[in-house]
Amino acid sequence: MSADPKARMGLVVPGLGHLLTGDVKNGVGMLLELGVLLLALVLGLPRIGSLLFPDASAGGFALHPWVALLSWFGFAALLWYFARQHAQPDKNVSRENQSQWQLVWRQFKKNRMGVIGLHCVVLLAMVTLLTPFLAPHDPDLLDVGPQKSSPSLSFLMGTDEFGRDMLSRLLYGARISLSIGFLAVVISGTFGAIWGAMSGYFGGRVDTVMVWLTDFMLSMPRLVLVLTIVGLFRPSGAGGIYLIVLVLGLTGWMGVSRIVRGLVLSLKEQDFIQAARALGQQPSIIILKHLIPNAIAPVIVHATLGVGNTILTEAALSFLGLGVPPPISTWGSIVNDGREFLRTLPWIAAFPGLLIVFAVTSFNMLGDGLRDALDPKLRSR
Amino acid sequence: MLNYILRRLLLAVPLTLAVVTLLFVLVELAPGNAADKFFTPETPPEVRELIEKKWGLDRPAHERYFLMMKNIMLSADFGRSMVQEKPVTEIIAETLPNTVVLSLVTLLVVFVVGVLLGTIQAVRKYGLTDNVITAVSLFFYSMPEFWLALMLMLVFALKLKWLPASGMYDVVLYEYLTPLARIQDRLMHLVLPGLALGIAHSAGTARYMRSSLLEVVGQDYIRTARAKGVSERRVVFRHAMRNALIPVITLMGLSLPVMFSGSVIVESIFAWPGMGRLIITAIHTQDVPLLAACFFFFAVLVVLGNLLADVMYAVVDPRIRFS
Amino acid sequence: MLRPRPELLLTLLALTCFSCGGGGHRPDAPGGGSDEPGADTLVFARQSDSESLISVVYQSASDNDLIVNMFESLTDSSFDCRLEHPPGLAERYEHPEDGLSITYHLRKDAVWSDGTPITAADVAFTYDLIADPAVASPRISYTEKMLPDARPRVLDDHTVRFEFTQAYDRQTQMSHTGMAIVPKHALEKYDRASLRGTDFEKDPVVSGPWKLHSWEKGQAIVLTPNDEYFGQKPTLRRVIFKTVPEYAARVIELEGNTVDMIESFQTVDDIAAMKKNNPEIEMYRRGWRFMDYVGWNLRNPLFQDKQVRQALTLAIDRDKIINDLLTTQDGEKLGKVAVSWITPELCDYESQNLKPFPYDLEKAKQMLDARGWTDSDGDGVRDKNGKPFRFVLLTNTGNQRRAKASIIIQANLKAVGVEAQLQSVESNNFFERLRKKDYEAALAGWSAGLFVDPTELWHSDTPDHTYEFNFTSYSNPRADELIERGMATPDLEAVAPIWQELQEVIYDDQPYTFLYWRDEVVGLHQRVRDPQINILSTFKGLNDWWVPSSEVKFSH
Repeated sequence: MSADPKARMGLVVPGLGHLLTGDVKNGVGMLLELGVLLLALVLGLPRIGSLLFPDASAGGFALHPWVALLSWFGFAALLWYFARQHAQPDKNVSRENQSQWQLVWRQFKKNRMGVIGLHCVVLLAMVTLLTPFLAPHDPDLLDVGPQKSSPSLSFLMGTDEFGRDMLSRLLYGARISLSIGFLAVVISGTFGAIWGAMSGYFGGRVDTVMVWLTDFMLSMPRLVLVLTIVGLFRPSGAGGIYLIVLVLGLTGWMGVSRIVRGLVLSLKEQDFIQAARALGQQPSIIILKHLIPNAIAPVIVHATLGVGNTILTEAALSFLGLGVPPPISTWGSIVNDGREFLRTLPWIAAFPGLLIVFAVTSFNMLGDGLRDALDPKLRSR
Repeated sequence: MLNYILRRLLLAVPLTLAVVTLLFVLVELAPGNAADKFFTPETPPEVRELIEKKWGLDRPAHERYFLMMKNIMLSADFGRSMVQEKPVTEIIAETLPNTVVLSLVTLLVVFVVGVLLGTIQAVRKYGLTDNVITAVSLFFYSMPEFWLALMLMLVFALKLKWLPASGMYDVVLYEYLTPLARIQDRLMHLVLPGLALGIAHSAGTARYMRSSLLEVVGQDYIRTARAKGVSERRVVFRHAMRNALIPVITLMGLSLPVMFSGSVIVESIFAWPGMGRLIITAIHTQDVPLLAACFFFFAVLVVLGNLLADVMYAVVDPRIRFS
Repeated sequence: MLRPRPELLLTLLALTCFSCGGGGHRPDAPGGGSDEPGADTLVFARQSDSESLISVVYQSASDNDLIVNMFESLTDSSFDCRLEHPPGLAERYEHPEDGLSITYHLRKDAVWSDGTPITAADVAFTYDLIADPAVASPRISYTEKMLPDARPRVLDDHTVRFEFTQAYDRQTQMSHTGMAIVPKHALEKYDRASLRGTDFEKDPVVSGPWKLHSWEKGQAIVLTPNDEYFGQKPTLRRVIFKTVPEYAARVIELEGNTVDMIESFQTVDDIAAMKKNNPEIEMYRRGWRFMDYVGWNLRNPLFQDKQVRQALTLAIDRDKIINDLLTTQDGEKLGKVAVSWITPELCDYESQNLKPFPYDLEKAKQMLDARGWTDSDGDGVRDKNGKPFRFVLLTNTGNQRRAKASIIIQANLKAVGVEAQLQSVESNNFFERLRKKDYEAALAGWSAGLFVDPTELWHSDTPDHTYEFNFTSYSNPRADELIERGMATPDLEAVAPIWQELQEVIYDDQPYTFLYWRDEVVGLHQRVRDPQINILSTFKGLNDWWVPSSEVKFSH
């Protein structure tokens, strides 16, 4: 399907090319992403001056709008890159010459749920990074609208009891919730991979002890452990969020570690590891340079699935009164704020709740898709 | 078999003790003193000393640790709750059965519903039914438990009035009910917390069952069976099901701690006096002896759950023999 | 306490029925059969279960709910503008003018639920426990000024005298001697160091109108009438205290009529919603019990200037906080601008000269300008000598209302060029920091005492005593003088002007910006008659609560 004129439409409007050639899921996804980009442009452009160069009264350099600006161009480049790929596929690469990642990508593209999940996650990432351009109001400003107004055209998700715009609050809350999920997963993924690799590589007594410690961590309900640590240390102020990220990260690594250990056990008997050993390379180098890169795929799958789980755990912490302390708002804490208005102003709890469901579903769909794509047993079918 | 179980239990002993050790270390690292909650600025120093002495806090940490371990190991004595002042084991004895009942009933339902849905999905793979169930499962699987719980309560207890909103039994009528009606009353009270706890797990189990069954169906012996002309129904239920269940059973064993995590939330919302609520109270009141015992018994439950899964394994898969 | 029912009520009804004429009353039920008290069951939903039923060692309010109904004190208590002490276990008492002693004469017919008479020995035993450091009673300070050796004197079986080292406020003395009495014969066999958690609590010997029927931990406590009770016996068959930790669940149960009462509504919106969704629920207000305030740490140079503190108060829109957070949809205000730490319910002490500072941005700006706080570098925040007016406003986590109030305060102060950074810390840590004065400004709460003892709060530190509850390090010689004079004046009429002046002095100094008094609303099913819901307790005098037999819901 070289240079299909329909596919070429994608170069003008990314997504249209996919849509016209029958690839609905990618087409719609990319069009939505384009929509967010344009929305950010339309909403952000009139304010761009004051956002990037706030006057001194707002207090110094504004980092977030600059990040948003850079990521806007980044996302735009990404969109057009995919549109171009679709319009002019590299036909020179035969199946045999494809790298492992290209194979995975081909496999992944066949998985409808996975692709939808990917687009949802990209959308979330865009919304998170472009928040300063997208949010119609300052999330903490009181009385930007009438108090407790239900969702309307001017306030799409209503307002809370202070007349704060819920949409803006949720957009800014998304950054914290998703950042917590992302950072915690980075911690648990890294730690779990290193732990599992060491355990598998060294074997013997070391392995026994490390596996035992993994089982030990698995024998405590995660939420109970997190609650206890947060409850005992009672974090205050901005420090609270770091403690929560750290605790969530250090209680979620066991799954990764098990998988990596299994992989390493089979890898370490292979020739290239034996060779590296024979050459007298340091175990730390072997683990970091040879073993972990080969085990990266399952770690990524696990991490993707872990983001959703972490967001849910953080929400549960907020519910139990041990979440990120105010004034920082997360989706979890906004649901919790809305709990007392459950009977009277249901949208305050409903929108963040639905957003949590949406985000977690997206990450789970993406993770499932990746897992299927990476599973060689399923690849033949 | 019995030998195997005994060996596993013996191996679990250091694990449960390590869990208690972990808690001890956490409490020591945390700021403040376990008895701080008893003190106000006016507390005279002599009272302060007496209270610290009463709870053994006047001794150095290592002494307290060894004393605690000795008491636990030799006489299963976890000390007294710092809030209720009753022996901790007595408090656990009141609450543990409630959590076990809730978890086991939920686990049973989760297993049946999950396996059923997963099988339907696998049989109708990539069909409309499969896709709908997948989507609905994912939706519930991704839902915060407390949110689901509150919604269930709003709908079924308040709007429809089908089910009681909270508690383990009807506090007004229970003592006047016949034994049969009591059982019915208790079952009715189990439904909402069970649903809140189980829906997400059923969804997860169904997903797992589906992929497990699909994997098994792709294997040679199933192809052989099909080639021999065995009916599709028989292939799925006689040949594939058994093998597909093995990983699902492992999952059930492993999901026990996840379920206990959920019980922390669900028990608080539905006023279910179990371990989940107890541990929240213990955390909020910094009741260290009670907290230690909660940790211990959670670990014990998890170990037993895994053991049960292993035993079930042997039942489902005759190839497995424990030696 | 005697209740008006049934005699008074029946008379009233009889009068009305003369005028209505005819009437289908049964002859054997004068006053209307439908208004006979029926044997109903009431269910109260509470956030937390009780922990102890022993008055000497209990700590939480949920324990007190049960103790006041199961154990009698020497005197009862009631509240109408001031705390009053009608007879309880003591049929009369002498409280001489010098304020150095109280002598109680016990009723001779009072018995414990196991038939043992209640005597002075029980009173002595109770106070012996309170005073004993080994028991570690939270109320040990009540006995500090008692003689001899912090214990009462037993004069004979039915007479007991408390003597004091010095005269002090009479109501405080009455309260200190008014602890619920515990049975000596049933408790003395237990180890004093661990009175809680003993078997006594499984089947306590009681003196009050109610006894424990069953207690399923974390689930429900059932009380039934104590047949041996010497006073007004309850007409209700059972009262059940059901533990429902989740607020939303309590509201749902009340709305669905599966419980009859919840203790408080957390948001004003829920009150309006309840009125609409379940009109059978009656709302009762408890009175101004809780006050929130901003404390300015006077050790911090930012807040040492009285004019500046006054300006900050002028800049905080307290009416808006009340309108946003404490006003129902029908416009009923559950908040009231505060000018003092003494609750307006104690009307004797209310000063007519005290008017709250208005919300006046312009004046606040002028005053700050006048004190040298101007925005010289144009960054939107005032500064003086190069130091910006920027501070951390500390509050505790887990209190939604305070968190919300702090958001409004932050916005208010920003409008006059003062930057408050919000920070919240866990409650224990919060009070620790208040006590150690380790904060800049704090949004904290105060729950009103029903007798006045300002020493701990407002007296400046002396070489031999630091007052940890004086969170702001407030110090004013005039206030010290008034406090000392007031505390040595037992008579209520004489002390009132002193306390009024003290409030005026403190309000002028503004160590706190007093924000608002807050009322709590209790929801109770309408079939319950004569509930005594007031500032003293939600569940007091349950033996007086009754349900007309025609409206009985649970006939079991």
